[in-house]
Amino acid sequence: MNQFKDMPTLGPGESPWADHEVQLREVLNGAEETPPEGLEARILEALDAQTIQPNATNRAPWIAAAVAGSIVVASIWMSSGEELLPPTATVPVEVSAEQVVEPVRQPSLKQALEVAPSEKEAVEQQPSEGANEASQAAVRTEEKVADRQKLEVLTGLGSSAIPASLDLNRAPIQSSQTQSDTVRLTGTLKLKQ
Amino acid sequence: MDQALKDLLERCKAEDRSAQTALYRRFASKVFATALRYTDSRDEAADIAQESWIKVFRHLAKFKEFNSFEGWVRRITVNTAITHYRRNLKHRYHDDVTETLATPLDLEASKKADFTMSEIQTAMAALPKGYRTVVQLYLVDGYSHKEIAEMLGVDVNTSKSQLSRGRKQLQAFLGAMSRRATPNADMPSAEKK
Repeated sequence: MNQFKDMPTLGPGESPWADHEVQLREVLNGAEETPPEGLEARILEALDAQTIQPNATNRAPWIAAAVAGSIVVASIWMSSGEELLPPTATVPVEVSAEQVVEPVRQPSLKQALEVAPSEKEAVEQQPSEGANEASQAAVRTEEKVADRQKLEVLTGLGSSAIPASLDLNRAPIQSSQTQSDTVRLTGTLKLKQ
Repeated sequence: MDQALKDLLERCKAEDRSAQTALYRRFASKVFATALRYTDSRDEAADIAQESWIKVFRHLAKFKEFNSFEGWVRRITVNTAITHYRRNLKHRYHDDVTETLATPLDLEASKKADFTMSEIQTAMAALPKGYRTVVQLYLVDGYSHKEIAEMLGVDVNTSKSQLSRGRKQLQAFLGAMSRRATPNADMPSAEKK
């Protein structure tokens, strides 16, 4: 009966282990079977692949988090796109300061009209209103420089000959200086002539 | 555990490829035989063995030296085989059960016979897969009904009834084999005459 001591215990009502079951257990427990030839190579390949994989798997969560984060940021930016526009809308504020020189520009109105088509093109190319204003400001600055050159040609005076206090181009432009300053400038020029 | 195996395991923990190859070659035939017991094809057994070896090498640090390494590897192999079995089950568990009625003569013959490895394997292979799995888990690999129920996702009573029916069928198959091997077993021998 010693041969049954290693056998699993049976529950009540189950028939006791037979000799052939003891033999079956011993035979199957000690069984050996030659594995297929390629199995060893397959296992080693799989192990090699796994030693490389961990780095990638460690990085994967970070990459996924970065992608998810960028998507979240992009979605927030898209949803609040109108709120983020005002920084570009500040451009007209600078332009309004430039607009003070408008009276000086009047003598070269023809030239200003010549510039207009390119300005129109710029308007068509720029989708945003703020960018349009910025391009207009750039055109006006160019016009201002051209006007100053014209004035020098007309008067025969260098810009250095005009007292700094009266030189509109040298004096800091104040938003409060509007038409009254321009009138005074015109009078001064007449006296010089 | 012998010192040579301890050294081999230490080198395997350090991912020494030559040690891993040596360990594989030492236990490969036993692992493959265990895998083959739980499946009908050598290809699937090779897949189970491969998966088991990868688990062995990956979790080698968890192995406690006071346990039997062979037993640990076998448990991993059985668990992997059961995972494959459940994956391939597809409602076959109860469908493949076909009762074969054993005669009292078959049962007696099975108890007396001394079976070869081949006969035992043939008898086990003849069992419906559900019975075979429970008989092997309980009788050969020593799992309890509770463990088997958890592994297979069935009720404990199902495990008990599958074992009982499987044992009866096994006895019937082995008895029939025994009687075929010795056709005149019930007849008086010529020498005696």
